[in-house]
Amino acid sequence: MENLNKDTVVFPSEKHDYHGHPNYARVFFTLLALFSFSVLMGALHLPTIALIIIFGTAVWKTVLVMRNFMHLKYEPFLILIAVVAVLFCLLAFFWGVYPDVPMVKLDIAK
Amino acid sequence: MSNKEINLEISHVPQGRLGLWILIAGELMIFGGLIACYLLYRIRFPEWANDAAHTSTLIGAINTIVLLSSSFTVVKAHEAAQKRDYKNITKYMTITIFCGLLFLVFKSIEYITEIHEGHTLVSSEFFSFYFLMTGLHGLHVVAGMVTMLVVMLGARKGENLHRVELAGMYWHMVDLIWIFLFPLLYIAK
Repeated sequence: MENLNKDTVVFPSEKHDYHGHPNYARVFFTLLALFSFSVLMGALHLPTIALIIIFGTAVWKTVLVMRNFMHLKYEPFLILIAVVAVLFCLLAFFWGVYPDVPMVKLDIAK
Repeated sequence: MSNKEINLEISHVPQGRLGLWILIAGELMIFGGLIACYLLYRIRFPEWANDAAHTSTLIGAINTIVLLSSSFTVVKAHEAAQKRDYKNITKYMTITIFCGLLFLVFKSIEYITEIHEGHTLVSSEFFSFYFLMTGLHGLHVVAGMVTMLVVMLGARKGENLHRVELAGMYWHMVDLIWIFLFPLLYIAK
């Protein structure tokens, strides 16, 4: 811990530079392509299929940003577990509450 | 020591970055909870599609491009920081702040149009969610811009260069949230 305190103000150092650098331009253009694709899908008016593809590309974009721009792929496995734990809590919340939703009265949706 | 053992070890992760991952996890819980609630209600009330039809896909799309571009410029600033290239740090961080400003300008135009059409925070359940989620996201954009400005002022003099990456990570989180808000509020009509 002492070493961490000492080194956090020094940059670049081996401590801060333990991760590599992916090809950022390629990731950026992939993100733009995925974005264009999801907008096109939205214009097709194919409700179910389009929604699955649109949210699928959103998840793909998230993975690209987290892995490459936020350097998650270079982080220790425990950090990945912390991020996945958050997603797990959200899914548990969603599926835990989902059965109660049909009981909400229709008149609240104006 | 094998590679697998090194990957499980977190003592080499700088405190700042570790703290930021905890902050990001907390922020994801806040926005994730909101998005989950919105989805639950949206499934229950398909008639919200009538309100969703009033959001501007064009402005939402422009803002997405702006935020994605700013994410790219902020990683370029981080790359420049590692090379101690102060000129490029300042250049890329200034572009990032400008992108944040542009995002807010487009968001304001959108809000003004919607309010003029009679869609406010209390006009319908859909717009309550819409203004809450986009408003909270907008506040995060402002916080990111202020952070970026403070970090840039130090970094251009060579001070605390490691903070460029940390500010960038926060900015990417803001971008990530928008990646989900855009299809939810602007495409899935």
